[in-house]
Amino acid sequence: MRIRNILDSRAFLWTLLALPSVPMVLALVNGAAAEDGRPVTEFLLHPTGEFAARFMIISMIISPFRIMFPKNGFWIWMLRRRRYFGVAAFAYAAFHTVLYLIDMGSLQAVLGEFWAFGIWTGWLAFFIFLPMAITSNDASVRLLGRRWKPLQRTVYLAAIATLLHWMFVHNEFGPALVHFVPLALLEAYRIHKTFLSGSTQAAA
Amino acid sequence: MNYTLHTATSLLSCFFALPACATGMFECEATEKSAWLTETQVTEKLTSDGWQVRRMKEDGGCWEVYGTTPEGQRVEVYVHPVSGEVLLINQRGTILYRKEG
Repeated sequence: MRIRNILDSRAFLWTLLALPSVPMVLALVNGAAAEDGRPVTEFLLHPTGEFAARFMIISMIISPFRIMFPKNGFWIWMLRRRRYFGVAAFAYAAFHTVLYLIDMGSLQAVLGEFWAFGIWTGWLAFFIFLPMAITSNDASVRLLGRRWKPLQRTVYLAAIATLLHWMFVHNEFGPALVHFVPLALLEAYRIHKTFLSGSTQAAA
Repeated sequence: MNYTLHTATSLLSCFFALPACATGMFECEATEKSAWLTETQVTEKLTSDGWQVRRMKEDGGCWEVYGTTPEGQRVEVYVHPVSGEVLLINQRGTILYRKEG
């Protein structure tokens, strides 16, 4: 089955994960300001941040869906590739952070607003992402052993920080909640299943 | 405290009425559209006070201006659409200034 082989290949998944960045990079190379006059670095802040959040959320919903559909092949397939989604989330978050630094223009401006609520929450999420991304390879999994999982679980804190960052920096709650409410519901389901149903056979 | 309350009510209204979930950050008193300052007038007024204006849009019956304070902080400012008075300064989710009353 040739198609199956392609779908299962690393190159295919990397391509898929990199796809949303193509229009972003093209816009950046083009360098033209958005229709409403925003410079391209400011305009791209939103899509880069949004895809960072989306890939983080995708990596986080795999476990709840595995519990919900234990025999489903797709979620098993996804579980094997979870680290890729996490690394993609970090890559978009790094892109987002670089754009922010360029857009702000000076270290003084960046530090000047560091403690604004919508900003430090973003930095917190980024600095939680960093060690997770660095250790998302086979060598680190082997090296860290039983400590690998607790490190990756700091993603829950990053998720809360990301949600707050999104809501407050954007001064608008709707779009952030559209992304995070499904995640919260799935996590609630997972907690219910894991701790309240007596079944300790949690997937992942 | 007021802001926490505002956040809580906004969250609730977003849950129950997503399409109607405007930013709800700030609202100006009702004014006649014909009496509104133009974008250019708002820009001129703020610029002469040392601000930098990047762009603006209408929100909650105010002009919501994206710009930089005379101190160089990147902010969103709610401006009274008729008087041009600065009513609220929001720096990335932290309220720097809110006009009382």
